[in-house]
Amino acid sequence: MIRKADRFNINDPNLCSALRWKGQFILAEADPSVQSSNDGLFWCMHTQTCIGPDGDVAEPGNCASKTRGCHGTGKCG
Amino acid sequence: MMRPFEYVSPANTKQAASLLAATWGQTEILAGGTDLLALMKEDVVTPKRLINIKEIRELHGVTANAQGLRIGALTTLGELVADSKVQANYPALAEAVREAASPQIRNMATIGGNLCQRPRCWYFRSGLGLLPRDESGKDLVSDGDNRYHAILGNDGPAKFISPSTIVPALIAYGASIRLEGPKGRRELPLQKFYVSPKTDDEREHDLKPNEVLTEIIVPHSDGWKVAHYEVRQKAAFDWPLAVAAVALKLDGSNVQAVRVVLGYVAPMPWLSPEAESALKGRSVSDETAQKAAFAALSGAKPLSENAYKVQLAQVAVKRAILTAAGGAA
Repeated sequence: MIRKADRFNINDPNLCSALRWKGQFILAEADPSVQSSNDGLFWCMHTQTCIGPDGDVAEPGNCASKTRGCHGTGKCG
Repeated sequence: MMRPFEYVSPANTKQAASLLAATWGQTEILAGGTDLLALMKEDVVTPKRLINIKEIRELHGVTANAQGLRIGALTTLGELVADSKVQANYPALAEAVREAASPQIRNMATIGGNLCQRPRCWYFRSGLGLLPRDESGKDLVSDGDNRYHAILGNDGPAKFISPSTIVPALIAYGASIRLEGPKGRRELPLQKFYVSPKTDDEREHDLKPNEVLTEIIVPHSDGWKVAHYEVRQKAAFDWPLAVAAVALKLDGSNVQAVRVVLGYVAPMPWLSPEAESALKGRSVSDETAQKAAFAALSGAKPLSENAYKVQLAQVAVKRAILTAAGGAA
């Protein structure tokens, strides 16, 4: 089973370029006095939903694997 | 990467309207920015001037008045959910707003921005426009991947779906909106704000390029029982596949008046007079709710890959009816 830290790791170097999340475009530094949080809301740029083109969930843990058929291509399978 | 743009921060609505261009594409309004910034970074929206309206005090806050509830367009979704008047008198609205986004986003996103957010159609978000076509002018959606597109109101060139999950609940409550532009103020019922564009020069709403959405008026909910239901792919925050909001006025167990509004099924929020006829004058039961749900989707014309949405929308309508009949305002 995937660890939560890996499931939501947005710093994974192999992250698919089509994965999106709301905080992605807000270049603010984290406030060290506030506990960091992740709302778990991710989507694929190609489908605009939480399900990727191949029917699997679009999340960092799933979208960092280059063996996934749609990784970097937006194509099914 | 983002293109350079001019940034202005007007102090009042009149000033904001005067800074807006008379044609689309030149200027954009920045409120919460939770959708606009992504569209700009993706190069889908490329304004030459960005007008930050967050400093306009008159657009903030929720107040109760003789008409009902007045919600300033810059009220955040978080403020709306936490408002005691909304919780007490408009519980289905509170629920729709709570389900619209995660707490982090609710603290930034505004209700005005939610009403004006752009469609989540992947063709549009890939820069192909609201009415995507190939070089020969052939519609890309009908023959393309249309699994999340419209099943109702898709006879025209627009096949995308209206993206707000809050709007169906607001329409069920009978909400109207106020807009301010160079010709002054105007007010219209919320459902008339949304249109199905016929040309590339039009948008999916009736907002003029130089108008500002200033407030939402929600009438008193006395006597109405309202419910909202979303069908999603996952239980956590996600954009739904079908939404229904239903308002019932009951005389004993008989339906005296009814509004049935569907979301995520058409280029605009979809009112269903067919479902309303199926319920009016009858008592609400599993059977009548089912008949109304079938009636609501009787005119559906699914595209090549989205027939599954018909049943999902029927389920949403039926469950919203049964919840409204058994619930509070």
